[in-house]
Amino acid sequence: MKGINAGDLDRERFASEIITYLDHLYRVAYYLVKNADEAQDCVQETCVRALGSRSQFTPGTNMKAWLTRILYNFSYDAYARNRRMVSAEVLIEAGEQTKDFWETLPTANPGPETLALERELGAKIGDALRRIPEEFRAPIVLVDMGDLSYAQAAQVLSCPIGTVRSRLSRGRKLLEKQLCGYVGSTGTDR
Amino acid sequence: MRCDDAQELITARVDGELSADEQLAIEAHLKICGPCRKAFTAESRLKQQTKLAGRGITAPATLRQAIEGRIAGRRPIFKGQSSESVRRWFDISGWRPAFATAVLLLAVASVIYMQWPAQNIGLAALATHANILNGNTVLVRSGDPAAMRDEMARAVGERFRPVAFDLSIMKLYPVSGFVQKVGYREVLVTVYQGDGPAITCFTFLGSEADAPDGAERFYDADMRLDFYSFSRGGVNGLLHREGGIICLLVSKMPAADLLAMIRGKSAHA
Repeated sequence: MKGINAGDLDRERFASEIITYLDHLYRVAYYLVKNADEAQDCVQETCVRALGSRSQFTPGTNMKAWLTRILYNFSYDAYARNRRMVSAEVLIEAGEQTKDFWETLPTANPGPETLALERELGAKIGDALRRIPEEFRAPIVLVDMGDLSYAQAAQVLSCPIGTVRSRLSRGRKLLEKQLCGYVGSTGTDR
Repeated sequence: MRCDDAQELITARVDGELSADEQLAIEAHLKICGPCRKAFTAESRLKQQTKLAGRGITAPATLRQAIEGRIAGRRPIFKGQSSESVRRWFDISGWRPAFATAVLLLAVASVIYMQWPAQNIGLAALATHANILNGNTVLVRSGDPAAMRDEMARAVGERFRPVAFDLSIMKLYPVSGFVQKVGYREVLVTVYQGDGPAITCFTFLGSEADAPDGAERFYDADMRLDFYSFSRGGVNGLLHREGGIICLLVSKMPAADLLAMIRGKSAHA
């Protein structure tokens, strides 16, 4: 380690630890903002800001949640704040369907077609997520895709844990209603 | 407990975030309430599928490089990734065994990959079409073909788009699209259905070598393209290349009719 001072080494370790969370940060950003380009901007800015604020990070605490909070704050300020708000009630009515979407999904022995279907479903989930209001989307992205606990999500969103729970509950119902529009049926040759 | 009051507890149960008291309360309610049990199952599956969808999203390599470069711009620690900085990187405790493991895994994966029997996309496409016809493949239908194509292109990182045909004159319309993985490659599958025999269009990155052995090759002077036709069990395939993109049409329709359809290239949507 000749020629490297302790500060450089700390920064190096800190930077390399940030890099280990890139997939997580990109995944969260991808679903929080409008498109892949914005997601990449968010992640780049998050990494630079995190490195610049290294002294504010408390060793021993959760770096993933800390980075996610920086990412969320930046994405909200840069992209989400000015977006048109959509009424959750309107979304529920618009997506009202009678068929239970989840009953149509195959559950066992995933073959190539099932895997393709799951991939298609993944794209639909992303699309549906972007159509629900940010206040309900964010908890789903943080908890379901980011694997954060309610407490960590509450820290990121700067709100009580109970709010995370209620928004998550409502958000998943909105998401399910949105996905009902993609109910599949058995193909036939005519 | 009323069902309305149970909804948030159901959510917390799905996430394993209940207190002991809440756990007792919701378990008691679920024992006597069928709709809430069903809601719990539905929400569990939704979470599972959402999580699965998220796993498919990973940071692009270009982003990784950009961040390393940008970090280096603010802090010269990664500057140029010089041999000295690379050496220091590996001097950090724990990196050497990790690097050795990664190299070993890479080597093993390469050997497995080289020995893995390649699956012919042409034959896989015939099987997929047959599965669609007999209902073994469940289709997720879309009422918006343009949005569906955009979704499909996004699913393969915009590396290519599904070849589109306007078959409305034959009363056939794109009703569904999905991504099929054949071996290590991704194939965009568009299903056309309507009044005539269904047609499935497969688009992927490849070459003429993707036509199965025994495929009949012929040259179309008008289009200046080579075509490859093949059949199995009454299902016909017609493959041609446009640049690096392979378009393969599969149907019970005769190959000559499929060719006539492609000749109406102006009809490409």
